[in-house]
Amino acid sequence: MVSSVPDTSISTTGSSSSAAIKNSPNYSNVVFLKQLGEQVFQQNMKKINAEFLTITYGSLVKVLIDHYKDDVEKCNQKLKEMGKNIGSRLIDDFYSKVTTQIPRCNNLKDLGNTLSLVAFKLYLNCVPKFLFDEEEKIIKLRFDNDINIFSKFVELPDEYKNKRLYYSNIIAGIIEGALSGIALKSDVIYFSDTLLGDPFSEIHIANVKRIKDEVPMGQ
Amino acid sequence: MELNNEVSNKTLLNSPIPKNEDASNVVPIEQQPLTVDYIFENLIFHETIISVVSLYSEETIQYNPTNQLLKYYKLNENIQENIIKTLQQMGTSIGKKLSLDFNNNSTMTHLQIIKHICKEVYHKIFGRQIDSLKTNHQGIFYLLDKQLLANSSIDFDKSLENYNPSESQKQIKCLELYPNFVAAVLGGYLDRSVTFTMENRVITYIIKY
Amino acid sequence: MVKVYSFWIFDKHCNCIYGFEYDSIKQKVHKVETDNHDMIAKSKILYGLVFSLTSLTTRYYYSNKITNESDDSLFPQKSNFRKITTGLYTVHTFKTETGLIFALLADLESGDSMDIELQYIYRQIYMNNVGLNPLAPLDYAETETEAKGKGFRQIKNDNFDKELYNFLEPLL
Repeated sequence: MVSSVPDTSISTTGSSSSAAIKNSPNYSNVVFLKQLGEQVFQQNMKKINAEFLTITYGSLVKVLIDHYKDDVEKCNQKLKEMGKNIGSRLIDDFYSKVTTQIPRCNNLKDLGNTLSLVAFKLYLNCVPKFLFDEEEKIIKLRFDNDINIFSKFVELPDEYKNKRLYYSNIIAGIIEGALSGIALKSDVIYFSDTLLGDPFSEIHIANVKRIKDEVPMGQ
Repeated sequence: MELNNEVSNKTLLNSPIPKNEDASNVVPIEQQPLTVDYIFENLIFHETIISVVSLYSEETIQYNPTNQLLKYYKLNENIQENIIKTLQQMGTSIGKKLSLDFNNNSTMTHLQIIKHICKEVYHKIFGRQIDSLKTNHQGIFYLLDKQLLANSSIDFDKSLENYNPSESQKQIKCLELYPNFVAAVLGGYLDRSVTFTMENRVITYIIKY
Repeated sequence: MVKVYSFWIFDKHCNCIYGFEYDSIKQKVHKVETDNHDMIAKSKILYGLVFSLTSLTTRYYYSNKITNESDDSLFPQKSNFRKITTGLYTVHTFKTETGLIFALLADLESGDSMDIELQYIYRQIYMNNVGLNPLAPLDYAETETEAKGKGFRQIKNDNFDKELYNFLEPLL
């Protein structure tokens, strides 16, 4: 198809050009990502007071609990579903904000660092600690006591503590939805929560798999 | 690689407060208000309203957010009322909580309070002020919002299965959920009822004293 | 002055979700619509071109062992296709991380890259009117049967049309 036209030239991006490799920043350099997160956060002019968000989210969780008549499992699922819908829109916004600066991910560690240092910083203005389980290939994001905006100033009644209501489960959904937007299938679970009396809040991202690109019919 | 991780944790722990000897230049970290991204907040705002609709319209936990709004006009009137009632209750309680750190001293005139609503409260919700304020000088205030629905990108996509061109006028009814919710927030803040009218997607909140 | 002949958007399900072509003689815009078979055929050919060149160059990349990775790793290197120049015109494309492809057919004056224009369309026009619009679908393929290039839904959004035409009009 191409060769029929005499003066055809093709150029592609990505790996095949050596310049791209040379210029791409050193990904293992966590400091770079940290600076990038700060920079994107500072540049982002559209910031808003978190108070309304926190209160709205609280009353939403209350409505869900009332509606499902204290069925905590359903509440957790619903919050996750909401998160997925948000995440699949948010991922486009994330890339449209950082697309030119962000280096390519090479492995799960890079993914975890990008999530905690850039994405969380940009949207929620907090940086969870990133830990990586080498054997199980699990990305762990640990929130130190008060940095999670959603659960700030929240205290759960004992009833829901025993039933394990994951108050901020929407974050797990958002991560899962966002990753599915870049063709990564994953299981994101809220592993533990300080609101439930655990020593720390942790989100686990496990079983990250690639969704194969679709091929048009007849190819 | 393990080393790298430790380094990162250490750098995170080092708090970014500059050690400035001149104390007046240092902004105490507690006084900086917590901020989030506007688009993120907006997405959660929309999803909150949509998920309340889905609670009443759908049996399953999964739901398609766009269809919830598109199918809203088809719902039974009782269900629509329930949805609006839930949103209003949510709004009122949100407004009450927002008003906790606003000390309503009696020296403030009605106009001053309304201006506070237009500037600060609306800014907390949508990151901007209300577009215009009118009054008849007899205790009725009209607050116009032209951006939330009229000038915004919220618009139907006409290719969707559930979009019905012959009934688009009815379908637009779902947009009334937004002012219903916001009016309840403002009402809860002021502790009085706030009504609204919507014409060509321009929302007018009406506050009577 | 750069002249733009046509503009297209493809989604990750290999469907053309938006496309128009400007007929400079009749001064008319042809859009991709369900009943416009001519434009649908054109969109399929253009997607086929982009798709096959991308997979061809990616396969070369891995078979030449420039890297140790294989292309079914978690984060494969994709040799994304940026432009082809023929004797008559240039096809500029921009692929987002989320799998959208924006393609622009312009004359040879357009030079090396129209990335700035394409990114503006993505970041400002597409995101504001479609990506973040709660009444726009999350996915234009509503069911499984509409995936794999068999979808028929297009962006039909008045604000999007208006802003896009305003942006591209000086170039038509």
